[in-house]
Amino acid sequence: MSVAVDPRIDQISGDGARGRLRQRVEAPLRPGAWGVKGRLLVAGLSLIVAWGIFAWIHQLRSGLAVTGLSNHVSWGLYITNFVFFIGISHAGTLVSAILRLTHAEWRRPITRLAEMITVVALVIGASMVVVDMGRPDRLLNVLRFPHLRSPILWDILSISTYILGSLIYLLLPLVPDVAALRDSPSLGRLRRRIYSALSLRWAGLPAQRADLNKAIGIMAVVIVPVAVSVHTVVSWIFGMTLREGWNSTIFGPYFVVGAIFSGIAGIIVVMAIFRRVYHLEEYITEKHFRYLGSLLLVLGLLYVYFTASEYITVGYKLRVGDDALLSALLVGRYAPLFWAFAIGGTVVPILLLAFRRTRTIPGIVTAAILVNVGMWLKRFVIVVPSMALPLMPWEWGTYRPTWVEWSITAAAFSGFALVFVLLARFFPVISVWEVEEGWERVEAGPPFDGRVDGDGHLDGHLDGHLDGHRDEHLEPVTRANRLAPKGPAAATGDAG
Amino acid sequence: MRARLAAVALVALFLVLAPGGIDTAAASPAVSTELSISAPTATVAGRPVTVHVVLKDRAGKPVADALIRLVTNVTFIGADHEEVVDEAQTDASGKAVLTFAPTDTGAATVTARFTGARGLAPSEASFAFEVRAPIVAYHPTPVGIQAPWARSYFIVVPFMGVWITYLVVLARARKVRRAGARAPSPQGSS
Repeated sequence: MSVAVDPRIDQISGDGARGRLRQRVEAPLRPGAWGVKGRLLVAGLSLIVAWGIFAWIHQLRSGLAVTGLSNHVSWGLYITNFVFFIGISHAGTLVSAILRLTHAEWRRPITRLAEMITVVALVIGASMVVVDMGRPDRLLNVLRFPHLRSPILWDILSISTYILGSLIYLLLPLVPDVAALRDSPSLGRLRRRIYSALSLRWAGLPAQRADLNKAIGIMAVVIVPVAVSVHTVVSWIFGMTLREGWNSTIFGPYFVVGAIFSGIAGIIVVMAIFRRVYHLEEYITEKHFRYLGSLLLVLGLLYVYFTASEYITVGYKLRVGDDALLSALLVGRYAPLFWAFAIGGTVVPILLLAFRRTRTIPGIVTAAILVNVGMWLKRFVIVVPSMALPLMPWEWGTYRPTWVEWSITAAAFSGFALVFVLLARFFPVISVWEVEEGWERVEAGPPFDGRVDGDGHLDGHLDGHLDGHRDEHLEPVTRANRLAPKGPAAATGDAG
Repeated sequence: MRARLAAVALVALFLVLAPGGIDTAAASPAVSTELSISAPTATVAGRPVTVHVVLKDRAGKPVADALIRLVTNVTFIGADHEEVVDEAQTDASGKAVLTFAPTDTGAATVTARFTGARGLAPSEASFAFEVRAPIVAYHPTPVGIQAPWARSYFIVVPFMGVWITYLVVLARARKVRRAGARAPSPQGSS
């Protein structure tokens, strides 16, 4: 699939780079830009979601008996999906908030995608808990009879706080971009009304910029601990239970690292898709993949460390129950899934990311896909085997997901893709004003002289040059070349 | 003569000091006794069991002030041996009440034993009963770290802090909107 773009866009150059960027980003938003393939994609995803809703209605009418869940194994695919999507949601926090706080200039073209992933993944992930309940009406009981000592309530509090925060954090940087779209005559009337409502009467005034930047800055600070708390609390749902496989003190950081690991992998995959479909190669460059690939490598190594620490300490003590669980994971019934995660989800991606020859865009994207698949499997082998392990001298529980669970799982992933696609149909996937702001900094700022600025940050000109390549805007900015037209590569931090 | 008297005295002394002394009754046969025992047929491990015994002689006359021992078999380091778990004297009606608390679940047997005295022959009686596992009632006793000061506001306050921060951010967004409304052209460029 590819979005139709006016070929004249590419002929815009020099000072017209801003116009070219705006046109490039706005092109997919115009009516008819998606063509037949785009509509087929939306129709296909909608069909899978509709089938999933049908399966859910069937489950509501017949009860959880239509699933493979039982009183022995009461958590299965739904909770696996829940933990997976909450993990993916960390993409927005890390890429957008942390990189914003650390003044990493190269983040600018990819923050919007990351923030979108966060909101969509959170909504889909939270809905999985409702599906798992069997009786969604009982969700209200959590609010009617709150028990503040229960990790379930902590989870609901932190996830709802994170959803609201992520939504605010997505909408605030959208303001200048939707303001530009509000004034675009080629878009429909209804759509322009929506843009107008979201634009907060943006006029680009200095006071507005100051307030908006302040608001985004506050959100960037507050959203990081909220995101960390969310996955910590999700881990405590397991870790606060005296059950083999879950009874761990390191589950909090283990889950947070795993979430950031899969979140970065998620954004790499989404970045690759939109880069190709929306023709954003000029803005989302190989450098973004390499930087995120390096982060993915570090997080992968950290995750291997945590995994080894978790299993070695348990395996050394080999308490009764733990021995049965470890044996089931390493050589027993769950061994294929566990080793698929361990080798396919960590070792192979780490090798792909470690070597320069494979650290290319296809290599990094392959590693990211493997990480996502592996991390889903990992969540499955965290949830199900510990549930299936008997707590009394009894037989192992069995869990075979039924068509209902597979259908709802397929609908969850399709729903994620569908909502994302629709968001990308209505809102720019690149934060245009932030990229332009980056260009302005490059054009106006002094050359990097190796000193740190007053805030203790490396000067912005260093951003994007840490990989040893010589970039055009690393050169001393003279009056002559400062006035010269700058291409988008300068602000996107690409070496070309 | 003197030597003969000494020999008689020695024999008499021997008879007095010999183990058990002179049992005048030994010459006549001991009166047989009968011990009867009653106790609950089932109990719960750890809970005291009351055992009632009655000691009577052959004529059915209660035997008072007789020492009754309650013994049970226990296994210790792989070997069985008897252990006295309680003892009591019979009263005027020949009755005695003994108690013990079984610890092991399953079938158990206790034996009440009278070792014999005052011309009465020993006797014993056993009673078999079932010891069930106790049903542990849930007692919501405090467990874990006790921190009375750690009330619910320790959870609520951080979340409230975050939500208040959200309100501050939304207030900033409102300022953006107000500034735009005051601008000459609200449809200005971005």
